[in-house]
Amino acid sequence: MKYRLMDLLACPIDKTFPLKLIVLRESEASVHSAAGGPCELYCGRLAREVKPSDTPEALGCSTCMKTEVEEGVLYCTTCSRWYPILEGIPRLLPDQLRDREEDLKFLRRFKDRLPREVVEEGRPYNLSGGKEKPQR
Amino acid sequence: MHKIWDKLFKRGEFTELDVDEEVAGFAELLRERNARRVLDLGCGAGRHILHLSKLGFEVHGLDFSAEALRICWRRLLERALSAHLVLGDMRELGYVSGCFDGVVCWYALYHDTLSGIRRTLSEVWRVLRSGGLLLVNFMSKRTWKYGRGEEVEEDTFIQDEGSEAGMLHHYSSREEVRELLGEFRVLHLELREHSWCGKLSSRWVALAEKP
Repeated sequence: MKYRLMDLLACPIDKTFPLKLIVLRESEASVHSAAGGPCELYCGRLAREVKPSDTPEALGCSTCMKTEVEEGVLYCTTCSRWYPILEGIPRLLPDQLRDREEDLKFLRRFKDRLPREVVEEGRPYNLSGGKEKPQR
Repeated sequence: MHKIWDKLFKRGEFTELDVDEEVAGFAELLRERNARRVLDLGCGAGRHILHLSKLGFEVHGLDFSAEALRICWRRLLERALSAHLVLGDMRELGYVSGCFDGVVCWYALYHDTLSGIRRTLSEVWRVLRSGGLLLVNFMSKRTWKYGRGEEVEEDTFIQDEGSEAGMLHHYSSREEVRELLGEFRVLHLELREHSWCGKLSSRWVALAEKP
């Protein structure tokens, strides 16, 4: 996933924008496409809104286009849902299509690198109180 | 349902690379309109993603099969092409409103119940900008499969044979297609039919614009 996707991604459930991005692993992108130009609303790499005065140089667009987010989490600050990024692809599935075991495995793997709001309070699944349970 | 699709894509089903003429024509139209950002909804293994990316669009693809997206991603890398892929549900899109100039939903929308189809089309409406275009096809009731399998609601069946066994298929009349497209301005609506092995394949192809 390129950072520039953050300019479009919203929570599939409540449409909150922007989502909060937590990067766990990056790689250098093998294809450096500039299709689309600089972001319009939100710069995912700098985690801030794009201002009319921003230039591609100021935003570091060329660096951004060379970077792939391989693993990470997208977090909705409104509904507390978290969405994993795996193998470079964000998984923005609604609760009923998510795999609980896979989600818990992901949380256990990265629990030391993810904020408490995801690990202990994230929806639909979290590792709260040492006891894993879904929250609806 | 997405697990069935995962199995099919793993088995190599639906991984052809041909570009359908309707989608190629849609891409030309998008170019004429200076469209920049295009979403392939239910992109599968990405045959149209590759085509749109080659043409220079900022291409986005969404599918609910992780296996399909894995194949699509590998194909993009092999061809040094780029696209933004998301694993998601067509009925609940994780994109901001009004961000796409074009949406193509090809051989995908009708694998749902009528209410699911309505939800998807309402999400397509939301994510298209004003003046944005939609190319979509619907199964017609004239197709040979109509009426086969378990009927879960009027005109919606779970197919019980062939490579699409276990999948939902909803079949529409012209009137229903018009009604489903609601506030979209329908620019073109045509029944496309062809026979193979004595079986009739029949689909509605609609080109619509968000006013």
